Amino acid sequence: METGFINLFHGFEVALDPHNLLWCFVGVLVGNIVGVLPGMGVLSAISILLPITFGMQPVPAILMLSGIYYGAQYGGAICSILLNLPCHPPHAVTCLDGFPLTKQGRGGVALGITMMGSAFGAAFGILQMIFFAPIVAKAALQFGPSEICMLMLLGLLAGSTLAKGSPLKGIAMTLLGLLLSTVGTDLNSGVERMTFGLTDMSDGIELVSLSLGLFGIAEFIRSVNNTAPLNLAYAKVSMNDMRPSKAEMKQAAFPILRGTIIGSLCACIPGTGPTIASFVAYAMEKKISRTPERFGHGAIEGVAAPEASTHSAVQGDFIPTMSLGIPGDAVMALLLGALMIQGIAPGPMLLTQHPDLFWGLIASFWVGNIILLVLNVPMIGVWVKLLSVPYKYLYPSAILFICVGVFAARHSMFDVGATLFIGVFGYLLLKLRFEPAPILLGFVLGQHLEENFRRALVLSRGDLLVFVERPLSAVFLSLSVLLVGTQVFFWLQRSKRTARLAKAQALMGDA
Amino acid sequence: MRVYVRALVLAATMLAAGQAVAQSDPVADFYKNRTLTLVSGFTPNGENDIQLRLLGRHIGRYIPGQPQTLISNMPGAGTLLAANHLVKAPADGTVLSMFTAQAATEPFLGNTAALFDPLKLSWIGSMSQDRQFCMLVGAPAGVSSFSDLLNKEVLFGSSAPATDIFTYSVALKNLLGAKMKLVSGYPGMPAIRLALDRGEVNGVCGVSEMILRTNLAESLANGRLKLIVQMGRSTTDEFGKVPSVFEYTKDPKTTEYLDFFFRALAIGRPIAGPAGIPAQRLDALRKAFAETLRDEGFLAEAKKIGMSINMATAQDIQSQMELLSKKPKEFYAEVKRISE
Repeated sequence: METGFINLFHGFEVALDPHNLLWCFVGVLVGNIVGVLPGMGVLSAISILLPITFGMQPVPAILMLSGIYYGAQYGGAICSILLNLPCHPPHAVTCLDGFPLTKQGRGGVALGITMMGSAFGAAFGILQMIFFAPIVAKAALQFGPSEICMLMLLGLLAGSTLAKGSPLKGIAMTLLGLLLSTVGTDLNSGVERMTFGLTDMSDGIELVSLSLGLFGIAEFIRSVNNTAPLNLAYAKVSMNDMRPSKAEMKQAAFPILRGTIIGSLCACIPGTGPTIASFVAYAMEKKISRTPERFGHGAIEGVAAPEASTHSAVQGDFIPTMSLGIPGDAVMALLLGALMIQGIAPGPMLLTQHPDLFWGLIASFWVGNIILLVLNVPMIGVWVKLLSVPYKYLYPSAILFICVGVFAARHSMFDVGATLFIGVFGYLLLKLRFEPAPILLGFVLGQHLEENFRRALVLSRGDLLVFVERPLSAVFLSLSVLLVGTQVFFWLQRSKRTARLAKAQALMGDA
Repeated sequence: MRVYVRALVLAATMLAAGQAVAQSDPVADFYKNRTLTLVSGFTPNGENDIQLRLLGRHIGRYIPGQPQTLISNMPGAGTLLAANHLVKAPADGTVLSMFTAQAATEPFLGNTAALFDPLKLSWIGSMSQDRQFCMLVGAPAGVSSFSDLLNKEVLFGSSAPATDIFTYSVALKNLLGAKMKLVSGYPGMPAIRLALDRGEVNGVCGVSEMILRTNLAESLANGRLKLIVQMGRSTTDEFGKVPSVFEYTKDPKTTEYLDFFFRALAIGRPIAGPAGIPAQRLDALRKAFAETLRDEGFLAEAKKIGMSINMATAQDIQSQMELLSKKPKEFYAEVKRISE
């Protein structure tokens, strides 16, 4: 423990070196701006800025590139809450309650709560990296295909009631998401599925296209019908309205804590990343809430939990990348590439061979998060003022950014067309009162579920018992069964009670 | 005096005219203030993408007119999208693409999704011809060499069919009878390495020299991983004595197919422009490519990332493509069968 502190102290020396500090600042600032711009993903931002790191020393280069990643998360929530535009997939779920809060004129409060949750989640994630990195790295090796498969199943079951309104419609949308996740080349057989012979679809549907289409574009088409040029409720936000009240902070405290824990657990499982973490956190919050009917209509918890979980997962994501040399997701793969360009091979030896880099990075997380708070808290007022820009200017410019961002990701006009098509489809779903969030959940979890289910069966030579024989997998499976069981039990209870009430009323009516 | 002045003026005019003629290099004039776009068929910052970016940083200096260079990623369909891009890209020498050798040979295999003609593309060259390895991790019971693998089954991790990792593994399995039980469906090498660490699978084929020099250097040094066979045009002893795939057969038919998988495909990641680039510009691009690969700054950076330069010229690739185009249909039918 003592050496941990000495190392961390050394890390702060590295992070606070004026040169490194400057690059860390540049990184978080760029990240923050990229985060706010819809469609402009972290991946493109890092790819664009990567060439300038070639001539840099490894430490400032990595501090800057990492800064873009976590800085973008702070910005990502802003458009989700204020404009229903999930600039990055992890923040899609924040739209569900964030945007209704904005419509009630409480967008500032939602942003305030988001900042609190983000800072707490990030702080926890960093502590986890300092003290538990070896344990987390070891835990990552415990998650084989059967465990991941069962965990995804649990996530799907917990999240299928994610949306407001009819549960049946929610399940239908989850299944649609699962179906969409199968589009593209089958990883096991190499056969193209549901691509309609289009080479551009052979790698499946882009997550960015799906989330921006279903939320951003669909909302835009819906707003086009709005004859009112400006929703005055949006603009009437005073400084006082932006500060969360004590009661609101209290209401958000436990969801933030729970979200943080979920995020850090997700960080242990390479491949899951912040998107799954935020969906699971939201689903769990709704599940354990005494008043789940408030979710989707502007519940503070629905903003606090997913945001905290995103941030703790983002910080925790660095653990498997740095300590095992295995990237958890595409952004981490990019950072790994950046390290390789610098001639550094991440892995178990990173800590001993490049302590400057490892501890400097951790310390820079603290520094970077503080800079982000300082940058963002005073900016909340400015962001909220964005809403007073009339629709006719605001949304077309957002659409432009969406198109540029989606195009930049793969240099593909097809993806831009796909986003617009999905947007129209999403609008039709909204009109028919189908919620888009479960589609995204099904899509994100579906790929992992199928891939790991099939791999587990290949490894066990088709024996389904593998899901019960491995302890961790058995635990997740039991939890899934328990979840469905309690759901059915409560449903039976409710219907019995309703039947009894109806009977009593009928009797009273007879009397 | 007048005559002298006239002669002087004439001489000066001729000198100036001569200089103007010398300066007006049509290739330099064309590339001046233009941008050369290098399209990468790979995801940003993967091993191959890093190599193209490295080239992009240096090649501009060697092209007359010194154009700006821009790297653009167009991943998808096993780099086929980037290769197909050459069909609609302008054939003026401002767009080049890098993709896999396998994507380049898809038209021969009858893949209708491949829209280009490999014989007509303006080949520039390949930076590094593949020398790849099969490795075992954690010594699975009773198997420590490729010969052992011919008798005893071992679980091998693999990506989706049609990827390098899958094709190499399945070719060894079907041509040489290696008893690999393939667990396919891992999204890429990082996921397979995680599976190796977890003990889920015990081996993998398609490990590149670059990874062995960087990420896997430590495991290689402490003996946790063992290289059992190497594939490719030429062999190396850099990582100890590792037998070549060609040592395991004497049958000419089998060797012919091994040649296809481990020599033709070992061109690496060829770079090409659209068909019909004006000859002068194409020559300039090829020359610039070769000169860049000799540039000291380029070589120093390549060394830093563990990349070995092993160039294939445009001529090498063109003749390889011509050779492949002459193979009968039955050959490709068999290649298809082997790679399934």
